[in-house]
Amino acid sequence: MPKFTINGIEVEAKEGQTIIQAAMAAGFDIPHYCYHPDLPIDGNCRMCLVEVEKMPKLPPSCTTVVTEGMVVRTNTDRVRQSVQGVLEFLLINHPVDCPVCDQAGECRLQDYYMVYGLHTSEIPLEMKVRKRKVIDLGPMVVLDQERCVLCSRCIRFFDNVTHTGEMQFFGRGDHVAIGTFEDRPLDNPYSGNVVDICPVGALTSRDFRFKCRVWFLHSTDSVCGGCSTGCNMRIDHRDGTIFRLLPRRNVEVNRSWLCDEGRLTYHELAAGDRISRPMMRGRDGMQAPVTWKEALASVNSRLKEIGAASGGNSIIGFASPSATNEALYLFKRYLNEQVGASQFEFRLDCEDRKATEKEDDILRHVDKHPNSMGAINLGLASQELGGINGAIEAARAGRIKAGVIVYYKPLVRRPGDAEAEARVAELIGSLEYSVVLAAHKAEWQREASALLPVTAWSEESGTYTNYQGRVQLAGKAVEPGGDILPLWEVLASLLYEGGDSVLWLSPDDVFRSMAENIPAYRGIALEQTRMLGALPTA
Amino acid sequence: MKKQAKIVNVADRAKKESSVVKEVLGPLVGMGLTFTRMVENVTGKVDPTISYPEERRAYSDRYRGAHILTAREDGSPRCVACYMCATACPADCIYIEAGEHPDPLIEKFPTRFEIDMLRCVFCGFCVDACPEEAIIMSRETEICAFTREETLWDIKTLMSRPELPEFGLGYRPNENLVESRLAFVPKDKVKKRLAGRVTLKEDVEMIPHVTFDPTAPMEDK
Amino acid sequence: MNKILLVNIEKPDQTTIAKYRERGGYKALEKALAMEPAAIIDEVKTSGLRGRGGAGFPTGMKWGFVPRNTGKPTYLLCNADESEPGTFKDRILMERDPHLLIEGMAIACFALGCHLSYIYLRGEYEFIAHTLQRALDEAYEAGILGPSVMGKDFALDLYLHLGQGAYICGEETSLIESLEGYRGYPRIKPPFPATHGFLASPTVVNNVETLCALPWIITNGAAAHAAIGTEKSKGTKLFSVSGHVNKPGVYEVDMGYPLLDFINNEAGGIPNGRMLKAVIPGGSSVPVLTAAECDGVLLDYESLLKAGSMLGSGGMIVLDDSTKMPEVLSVIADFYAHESCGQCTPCREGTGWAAKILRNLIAGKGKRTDIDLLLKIADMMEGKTICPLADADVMPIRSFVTKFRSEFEALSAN
Repeated sequence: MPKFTINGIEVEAKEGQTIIQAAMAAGFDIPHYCYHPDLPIDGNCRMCLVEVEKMPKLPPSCTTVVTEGMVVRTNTDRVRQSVQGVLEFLLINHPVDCPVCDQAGECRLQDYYMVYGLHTSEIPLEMKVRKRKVIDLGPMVVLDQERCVLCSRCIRFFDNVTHTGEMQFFGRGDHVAIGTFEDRPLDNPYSGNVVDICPVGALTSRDFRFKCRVWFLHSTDSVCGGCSTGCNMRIDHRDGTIFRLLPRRNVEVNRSWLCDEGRLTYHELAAGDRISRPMMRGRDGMQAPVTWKEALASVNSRLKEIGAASGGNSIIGFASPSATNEALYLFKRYLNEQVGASQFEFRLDCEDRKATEKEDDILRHVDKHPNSMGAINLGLASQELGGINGAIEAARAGRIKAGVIVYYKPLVRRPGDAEAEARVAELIGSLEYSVVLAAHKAEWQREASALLPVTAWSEESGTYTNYQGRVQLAGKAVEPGGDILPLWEVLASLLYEGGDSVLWLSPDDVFRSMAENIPAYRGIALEQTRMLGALPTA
Repeated sequence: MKKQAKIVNVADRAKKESSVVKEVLGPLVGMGLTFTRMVENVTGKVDPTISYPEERRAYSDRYRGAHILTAREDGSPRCVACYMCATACPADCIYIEAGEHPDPLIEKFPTRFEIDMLRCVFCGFCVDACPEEAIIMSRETEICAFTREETLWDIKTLMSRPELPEFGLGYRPNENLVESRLAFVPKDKVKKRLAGRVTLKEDVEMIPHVTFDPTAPMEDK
Repeated sequence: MNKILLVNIEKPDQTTIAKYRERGGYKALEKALAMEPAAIIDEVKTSGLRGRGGAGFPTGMKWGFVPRNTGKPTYLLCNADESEPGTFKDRILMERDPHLLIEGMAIACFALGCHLSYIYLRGEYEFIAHTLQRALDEAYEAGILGPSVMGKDFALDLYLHLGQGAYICGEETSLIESLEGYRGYPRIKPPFPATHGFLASPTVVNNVETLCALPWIITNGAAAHAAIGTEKSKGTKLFSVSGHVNKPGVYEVDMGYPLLDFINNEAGGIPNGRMLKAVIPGGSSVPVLTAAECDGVLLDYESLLKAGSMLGSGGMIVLDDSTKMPEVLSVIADFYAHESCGQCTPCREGTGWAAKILRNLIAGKGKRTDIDLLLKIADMMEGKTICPLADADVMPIRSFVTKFRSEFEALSAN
């Protein structure tokens, strides 16, 4: 553990760390373009030059390994002049078309210009090197060669993370430009990441293109709802509309990356009609809108009736592996304690096995639900039924009469989805009394005795448990329209309706109770689920 | 390189520049002007009252009236949909939707650009914020409508409206437009500018306006 | 005047192995193979031979840095990517006496314990590739190269690799990158090629001229070599003279030979009775010397450094008083702008910008502030890049502009 001083302050670095890594860990800001914590070090941008005692030249802080007793300075005039010089060089051939550039507002050129530059350009317009603009690189990326600072982050991403090597430098000297061979589109499932790692506006998102200026957006930390990997992400939204999803760095889960499918899940969320108010099937067999009060009272009394008449074995709680831990916890608590139900299941298609099965070597898992592990931890998988087919069989045989079914459509589509949905419909069809809690409208919901609209991913706060068993908090970003309640709140209301004395005011309350009562989550504090997520201590 | 702001000590300067002559003569000159004005008004040389709306005053070149969107050579809007005006707008009255321009050198253009004239406070921040000389102001003041929808001006209205040629250009970054042109032909006339003084009746520009005759039959729209 | 390298250069049939052997060729290799490798390295160390590529680093010391018993093979790469404007000394060696290079490389490989070696030849020297390849084939046939070098238990494979026309690949780390099949980008040092070079193995990169001097040192002994030249610069050096001289060409002189004598005697003086204006003594990337500064300067590493320039690769460009210095500088700046690999920001943008400013100046469109801007760009570029290409552009820019400022000012005044 070498100790060194930076601007007169003694800092301890990890063995083998370079100056920039140790400095950033200690809270010092060193300007840089090409350095990225999750990519191999290249050292080409020359922005991060610092002064090190006993070194005649200014060494790049991204490649210089910290040694014991090293004396580093980042605030001297010499360093400042060097940074200013490099910045001026980067800007001489830059088109400065910030008004039409989507990166404006989160561009490193703009940021550093305001801190280090503020110079007047000394190069006349006609002297600038012109390169190609608006090059279509597939469904995720638009390339503008003029805005590029040639930091090679994108090239290193494709070389070292996806190992596909689509991008490369072309040309020499100040005519160097990045690109793909013959402008071939980027068709690998992680191409969207290069937009995030591009420090300037050279690679911009095709999906987000011209949708919104970034300074209008608000951000909420969340976790991807697309599969069991549980990649940390940031939801950027404005006025209740999600505009884009960006990765949030978590070295333990997704590093700085996000797959393209996960990045686009918000489109699937917005697609299709939402159920906007509670519906109950009347005497005429048709569903009609009712108030929440009526719906909850009716559902509670009817379930208790059936439970009393036919016993707990005749009621099934069929949960969704896309629901939050908090909701699932209350789901089981309500059905078990109030109604007396003992049959619980959530598996539509072997989610327990698929949750840990990798789809590729980078991030994705085969299971397209974010919380299958949570459902298992909460004891929602029944040995006896062994999945939805067992439940359908039991219902057909008359052993199960009533059911409460939570269903969310998967945010990442796979060919088996329609089949899984058909099985849910089949289960409902074979039940005498069914309560469906869902977010999106579907044909099969007509069969339900009660249909209750609940919020979907990004509309409620709650934790998800990823394939590693890591519990991670996803915040609430947007408000759903209509008379829609969060799932945990519906279940909390049912518990209250049923006579439970505990008053649940927020998902945080539920989490605390869960951390006390569920062995897999014992001892986890809510704070731990925020940044890196929490693994069970046992 | 970086420019250093020059610091001026106002208190020192006032002391330095004051003199007996200034202190005494200053108020006298002011009173003299007041007296001259009084004489002009009393003798009828200047008439402070005009018969609006038949008579109008000529407004200054910096007048902040209804907005104009300027055009490119081909008549399309000069605007690149950068949202700078919308960002600067304190009344939040500008709504823009951007689209992909076929020319990669222009890249971005507004598919929708709307100003809610009822929300607008005519502060001119949008003109200041514009990097393209794409939005300027006219000297048009009378924004009347029968419905709220009509006060939501779209690109077409903002670029050219029938009454616009009658009014001159108002608040804008350059007196003669440098980068852009207008989507309408402004009336060519030399105006007598009398900044800070009341315009003489004879010099008043007559702007024809629609008179509303309540007895006339309503036209179906 | 001693001849070490150009002994047989005038003889037209020297390229064949038969004639080469007839004139005493491969005797040095035979002698070397009988020696201990460590003894050869010591011999080279005491000979005082310094790298002839430009930097002038002692060759024996460079070899001494190569770690032994790393479990990885050691590689010797011959840097024949001679692309510095004004330099054409290696060309003549390879074109006229290819076996001398092969013999030198074989000696070096034996000393370093290297069994695989490459000649990285400049892309534009394709015509030399044929000569070299023929010589290599002959050497293989004669058993000088191959599984058993001259019947001894030492295997050596020597390959010729033709570059693709990039000046930057003359820099040793980018030469290695290029040879590995990547884009010719210089690597960040450390790690140095001596430990992590070609294929992450210990690697020595030597210039053609350096390697060609080895057979003579082995034959005549280190002491004989050390006796030639000055105290710190030993042996002879090839100079390729071009520009305003009567006899441009490649000349071999002892280290420490006076510069002006060299121009007047060897190179035949300046034509048409004109006066000397300036000399670029070591290839385009070294600072220019004015005629006054040339007085008393000797052709060796130390004397030229003292005079404010460098020996470099020995590519001497002589300029007479009819020369327009801004135009010369513009040509040089254009070269570096064209050859910058584009990896580091200061070099990529700075070389191009400087070249454009100079072109503008010459076209009469320059401003007076452009001269200071040029110096500012030079400051911004210097010492901030991975490889010394930016510095190689800075040195001529700074020396031309400061030493001939009035000429630049005259241009910008219009």
